[in-house]
Amino acid sequence: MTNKWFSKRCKWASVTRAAFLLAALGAPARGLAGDAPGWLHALATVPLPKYADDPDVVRLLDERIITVKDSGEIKTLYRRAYRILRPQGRQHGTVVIRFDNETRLTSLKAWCIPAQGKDYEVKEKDAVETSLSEELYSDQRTKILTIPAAETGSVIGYEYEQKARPYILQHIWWFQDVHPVREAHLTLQLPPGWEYKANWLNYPEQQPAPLPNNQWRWDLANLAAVPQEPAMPPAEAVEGRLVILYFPNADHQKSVGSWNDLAKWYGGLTAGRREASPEIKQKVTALTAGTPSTLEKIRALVSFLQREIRYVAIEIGIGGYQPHGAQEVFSRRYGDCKDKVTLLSTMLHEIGVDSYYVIIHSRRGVATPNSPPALGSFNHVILAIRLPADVSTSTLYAVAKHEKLGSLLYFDPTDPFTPLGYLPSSLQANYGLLVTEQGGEMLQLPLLPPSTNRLLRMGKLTLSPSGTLTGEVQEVRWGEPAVSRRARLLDVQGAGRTKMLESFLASFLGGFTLTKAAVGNLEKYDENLVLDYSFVAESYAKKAGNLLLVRPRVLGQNSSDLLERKERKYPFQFSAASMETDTFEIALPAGYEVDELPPPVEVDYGFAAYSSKIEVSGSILKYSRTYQVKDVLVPTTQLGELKKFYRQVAADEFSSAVLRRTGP
Amino acid sequence: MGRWRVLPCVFFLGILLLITGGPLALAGDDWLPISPGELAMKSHPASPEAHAVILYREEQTDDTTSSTTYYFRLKIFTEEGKERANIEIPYLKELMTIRDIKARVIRPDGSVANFEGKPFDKTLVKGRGIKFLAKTFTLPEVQVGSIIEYKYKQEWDRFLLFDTHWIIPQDLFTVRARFSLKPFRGLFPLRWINLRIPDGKVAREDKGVIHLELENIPAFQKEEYMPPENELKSRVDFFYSSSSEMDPTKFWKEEGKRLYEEVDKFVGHRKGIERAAAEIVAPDDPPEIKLRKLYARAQQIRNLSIERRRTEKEEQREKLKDLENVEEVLKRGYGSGRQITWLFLALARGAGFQAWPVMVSRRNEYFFNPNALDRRQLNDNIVLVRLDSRDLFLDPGTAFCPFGMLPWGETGVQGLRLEKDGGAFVTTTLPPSSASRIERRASLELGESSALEGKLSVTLTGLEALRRRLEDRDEDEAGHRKSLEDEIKEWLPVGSTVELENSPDWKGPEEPLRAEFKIRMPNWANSAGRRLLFPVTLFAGSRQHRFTHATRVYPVYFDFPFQTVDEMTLKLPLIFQVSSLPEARNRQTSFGQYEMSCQAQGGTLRVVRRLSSEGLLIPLEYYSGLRGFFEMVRTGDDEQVVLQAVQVGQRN
Repeated sequence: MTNKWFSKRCKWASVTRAAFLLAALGAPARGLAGDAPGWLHALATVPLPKYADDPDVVRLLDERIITVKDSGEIKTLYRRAYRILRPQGRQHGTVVIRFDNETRLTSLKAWCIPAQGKDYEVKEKDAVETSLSEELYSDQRTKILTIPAAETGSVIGYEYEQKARPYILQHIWWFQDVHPVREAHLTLQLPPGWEYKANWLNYPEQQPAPLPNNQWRWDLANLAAVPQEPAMPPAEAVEGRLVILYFPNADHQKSVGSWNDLAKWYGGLTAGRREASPEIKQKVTALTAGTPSTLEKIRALVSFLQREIRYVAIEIGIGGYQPHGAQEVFSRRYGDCKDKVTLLSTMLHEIGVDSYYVIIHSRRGVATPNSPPALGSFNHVILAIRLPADVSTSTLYAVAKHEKLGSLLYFDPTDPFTPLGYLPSSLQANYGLLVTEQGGEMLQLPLLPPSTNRLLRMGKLTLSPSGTLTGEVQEVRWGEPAVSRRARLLDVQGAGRTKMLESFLASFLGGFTLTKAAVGNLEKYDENLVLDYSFVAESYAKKAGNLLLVRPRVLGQNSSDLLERKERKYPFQFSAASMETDTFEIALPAGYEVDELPPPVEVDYGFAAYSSKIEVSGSILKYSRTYQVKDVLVPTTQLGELKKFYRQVAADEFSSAVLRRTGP
Repeated sequence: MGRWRVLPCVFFLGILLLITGGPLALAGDDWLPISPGELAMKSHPASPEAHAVILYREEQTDDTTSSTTYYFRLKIFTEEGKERANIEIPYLKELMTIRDIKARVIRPDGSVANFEGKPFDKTLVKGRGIKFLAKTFTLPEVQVGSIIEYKYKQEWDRFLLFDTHWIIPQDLFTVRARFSLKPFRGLFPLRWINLRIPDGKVAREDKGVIHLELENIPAFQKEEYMPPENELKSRVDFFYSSSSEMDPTKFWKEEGKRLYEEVDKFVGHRKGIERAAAEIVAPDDPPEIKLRKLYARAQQIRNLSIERRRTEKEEQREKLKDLENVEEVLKRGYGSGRQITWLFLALARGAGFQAWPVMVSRRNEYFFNPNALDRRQLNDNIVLVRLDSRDLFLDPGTAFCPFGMLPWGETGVQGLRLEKDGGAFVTTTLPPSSASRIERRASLELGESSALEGKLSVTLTGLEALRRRLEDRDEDEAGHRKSLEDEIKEWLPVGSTVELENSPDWKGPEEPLRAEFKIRMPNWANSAGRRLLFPVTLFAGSRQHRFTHATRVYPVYFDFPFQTVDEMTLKLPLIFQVSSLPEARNRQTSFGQYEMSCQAQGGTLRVVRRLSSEGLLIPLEYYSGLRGFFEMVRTGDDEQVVLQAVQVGQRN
């Protein structure tokens, strides 16, 4: 099955849409009477242990038999079976198979062995097909087959065969799942004279059972479920996988035994795509005229790419991996990630700046130097810009030194809101494959320091004797907080922006009225995003006899209850290193004095730090705090500390100052 | 069957709207002229923050040639607006063709880039004899300030005749829109109804063609607690009718007769049913007991309407057959919700009650309009029974629906009571807020570490219980547990733990849904020096806030009136005594009532809170008052209890 570059969002959303359409269009598949095969019946009789956490299903079998022909054609037979344990497991009765012109589906059958009664059988003709995807158009298609009687207690299974002529001779086997897996098998049949290489990740290496005629079989049993936990690394980063490379021992052209091989392959695929047409040259000249410094020229070209080249993905065949030529992208003014990178690289070359493709996964942790080299480990392409010596890096944070190429500035032209010098948070500290003329290597992209991802919130407020809080707040954001908020603000229209702000305030204030709201630099992506707003919040301070109770932390929440749920198995991942500072100055009402204040807080756990304090100067109560995330990954050994950290933050956020009435 | 078949267009239209958000343009190269104003436009004053506006929209349907031509012209104002240059035109391949697609981009300087590519045929769904495709293409060189326009012609099989619907508002502001329909003149007369068309305009017939032209149509937007979308969007609905009657009173009388005949065929006067009714009730049962027994018996029938949709083969194997009459429903022990309701009607009559079939219009998706002469509005069935001198509306076909109640969509709606002469319109009852309650009773203890823990009992009654039972009907025990525990966590502060301790009755329609929990809130009280502070109500930390926005566009719509009653007893730590309690509140408004009181006795606090919401449809002009009411509720809930540290012996 292919995993083409690049879809910006998960394709399953589209499959769900197709399933919905299917439901709207008509009845589920007609099931036919027919006996389930022996292998499924054998699985149905297997006694199961008691599983923890009430899984919806148990995957009884995950089997694939890969037959490689001398011609390079690959035939793979897939078998899957589940026992449905709970009503939620019924969704497994909808079989979803993806294929395209390079991975043809040649057969598909499915069965159900109900808890009572005869078996059911459904075939490919009972399935529906869709090509819905996030791309505007793709040749990827999906067959959706509904298995009858997929109820609690039923055993369901399916079998399908695909024929492929892959671009690269390798197979990735993700054998773990969110549910427990009872048994899993992979059989590899190679032609005489062919060899294989097996790479394991997140699972101990297993030796295959040798079978006659250049055939091997790997057997796994009782695989633990990989639970989905909030803020965990992506499932692909923690699930066990086997990557098998196979090749004729005399010809390694279509195999990639190393990252360097993969980079070479990609280098070959992109050869000739970065040719500048006269129109491109003319545009580069026009964009960079009057900008003497190289950095300003780069900025001008980047701005053109971000603003003028629309993201549109049209992926057919090898087009899932291979970019369109720069001239085509330029003339149409649209393209996907690899197209945008290709055009930007071409334009940069015209001003004497070299740049390189960086193939990457949009979720941090999926591909690392320890991962077996595999095409399917990536879904995105960005650019590494080789900075000339005259370019100052003082405002460029996404820069890393390369021992041969010097300073490399990583940049993602697909992200319209992240300016040059910054990197989208999911790409920071992520690994990407740098593709150069000589081949390539896996490199870690820089983690930008907290100071580059800032939110500064400053409020000047006045409290009345009745408890009404009035005043103005200014928020200044740059880095990741600016990118995420800018994207949300730009996404809505009309009164949506005001409503967004009202929803935010409603989390902290009851009975409030937003009296002013303004957004500064909304469409100036290189500048700080500034929000200015004013509000009146009645009954903000609570009266209690002659006391007035005030929460000094007026707005903003840094605490979280994610660690208060079930015991976690995996590390905790923040989106970015960041720093948030809140300062609220509250003018106290006449006739009141401070009676008691919450104590200051000062904690630092290495991965994150928090400090807060309250000062009283005359009639002004000043609350200030700083919340800082210093590392994006908190290992499981430190989850207890993270939990404690969040509780300390929460205690501070909900603490109150007590004011006492002094006058009559 | 003649040459033409009338197909309900609602189905197809729904699918089309699902994909595009609305239909879209004229065949040929005759583009309309572009004004300098359109080229220079940077934003539109009526929609200043919009990503784009529709400058012109045209939809011309000709039922004599089985075709519609569409024309769309949009102005792009922002980067996000450029997404509008990706076009998908869905169609059913077996029934329709899309042809003469033309598209172009007019750059801000007025120069033109024509679309010269070939649209892709994207498969949306293919299989089982259906091919649902979309002509897909994108326009080149689209920039902020560009105008994009496209047009195409949709043609369909000449043996089909679709209903037409002009849905006026789109998700973008529309500067000008023109619609026309040339009807087919044949066996079925065309009717149409203008619904909420702005500026007092209506679709009018001129020389055999119906026209409507509108300007400055606001974009449609979604809001919380809004009435069904169908009730808000202005539209013109056309339908070819098998009835020639144009007078609403006569039309519904005629339809009432037809419906009565259909129901009568299914229900009839069957001896077997009379015998069954006699076996279910005892002769000396009071009438209400008799009726309740018959209702309970009907609800024992396996209700296929709430079960998973089965494949044909499953139905064959289970020997589920189409049922011809109520006797078969009773004999076979299964039926659809509708059939079960008609069985109850027959049983009630068989036991000697006066009972009538009633077809109602559920208000979940639209409100009944008697002037829309379309019987499909009457989309559900209930039974009207005379019990002593009372009229009761009953719907045993809705699983878990208690005797005497209707599911909320059927409450307070118009229905047609069916009789031989056609019957008459009736209005179903709307239960008071007291009939649908959430009662929360907590017995808790505040620890010296500021943690609050103890027991919480939650009881749902009436429509609250019915809704919950229907929503969770497919869950197993673990699923029910998770669903309930998650909901309680939503009411409590972040970090609270909740554990269900009983097995609620998820099936019994007549019993409230009662769940018992053990709860713990680790940081309930805040420490401020020698004081402890905490909110007076347990559920003040709820993350759900109603009506946070100062303005809205549409009226507020609640599904049904409801009440929430909370009673909490809280044992205080020995080393603290009450320093201050919030004042009692009792506020009665036309929107509802809020009452909260807090008393301390010994070392225990007792808090009682009641909230009732009485409104169903609150006009926009009252929004500010409604918002104020719910803000007052939140303020009351947030009031603080203050405890002060004392020596144990000093406690008062």
